[in-house]
Amino acid sequence: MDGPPTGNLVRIAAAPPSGAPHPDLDLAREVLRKDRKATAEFVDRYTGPVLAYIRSRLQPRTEQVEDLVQDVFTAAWQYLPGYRGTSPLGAWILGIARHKVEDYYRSRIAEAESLDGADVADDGPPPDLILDRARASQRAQQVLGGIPEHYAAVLRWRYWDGRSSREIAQSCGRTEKAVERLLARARDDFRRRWQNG
Amino acid sequence: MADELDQLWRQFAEATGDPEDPQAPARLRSKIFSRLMEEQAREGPLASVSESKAAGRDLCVFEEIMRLAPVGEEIRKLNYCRVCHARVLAENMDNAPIWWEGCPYAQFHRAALKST
Repeated sequence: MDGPPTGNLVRIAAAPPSGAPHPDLDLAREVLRKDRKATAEFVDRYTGPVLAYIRSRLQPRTEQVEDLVQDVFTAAWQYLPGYRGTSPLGAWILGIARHKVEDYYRSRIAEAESLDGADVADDGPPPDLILDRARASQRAQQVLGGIPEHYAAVLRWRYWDGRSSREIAQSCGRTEKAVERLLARARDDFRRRWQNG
Repeated sequence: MADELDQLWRQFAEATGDPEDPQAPARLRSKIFSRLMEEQAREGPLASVSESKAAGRDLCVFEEIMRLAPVGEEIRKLNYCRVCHARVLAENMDNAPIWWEGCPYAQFHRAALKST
């Protein structure tokens, strides 16, 4: 297993034949030798995907995006000795980005005064999608940007990043029930804004 | 019912998935590169420019001079980029006027220009 855990986020490169280390291991070794040009190649290759992922999770609050991207690369340098080449380096570094974004989600949810509150009576399915993918994606980002930050954080964490309510609850130090209630209110708000927008 | 609802929302998230990778600004790439160089140098000498050359990497004109100059190998392991004006321009401008071959900052900016 390579260093920090990775997510299923990546569309960068396929895995190598079973047993063989990924060719990216050569680049990782060069970076670890502190070869300045290899480090530049590492930055050049992965800044785009990391930026895209983090920006998509923080939109429209983009003021922290570049700082987070830089933090991801600093953490990558620290963890790089643990990279064993069992996955593409891009997947590995996006795993680090995912952890940074989860820290961000956690802080947004923690800032919400309380996760308790009345259950939502009208919780239901997501809006019907009659838009093409690009416009639907744009619209979803727009709606997520308009709802309270802790709602956006819990929705992205649960559905866009695929974490279970239990995992979110454990990560935030809340009960699963409290997270479910928060999700219900967030879904309700999202749906109403989508329909009214 | 709750599972079904969850499934529908997961499908919705899938259908409104991530946008395409944007081209990262050269300014951001430059800052990240500088930060990594600082981190690496803080932990001890970098790989020397001679080693980079031997590994088939291009050097900038200043690094090439240091590689050929009659100086000790320790000098060839210093972080020259830290004091190079290319770094300052690259970190602060969107289209920095730097074109040297073998300079990572120039490379970041050339790549950004090509993509526009």
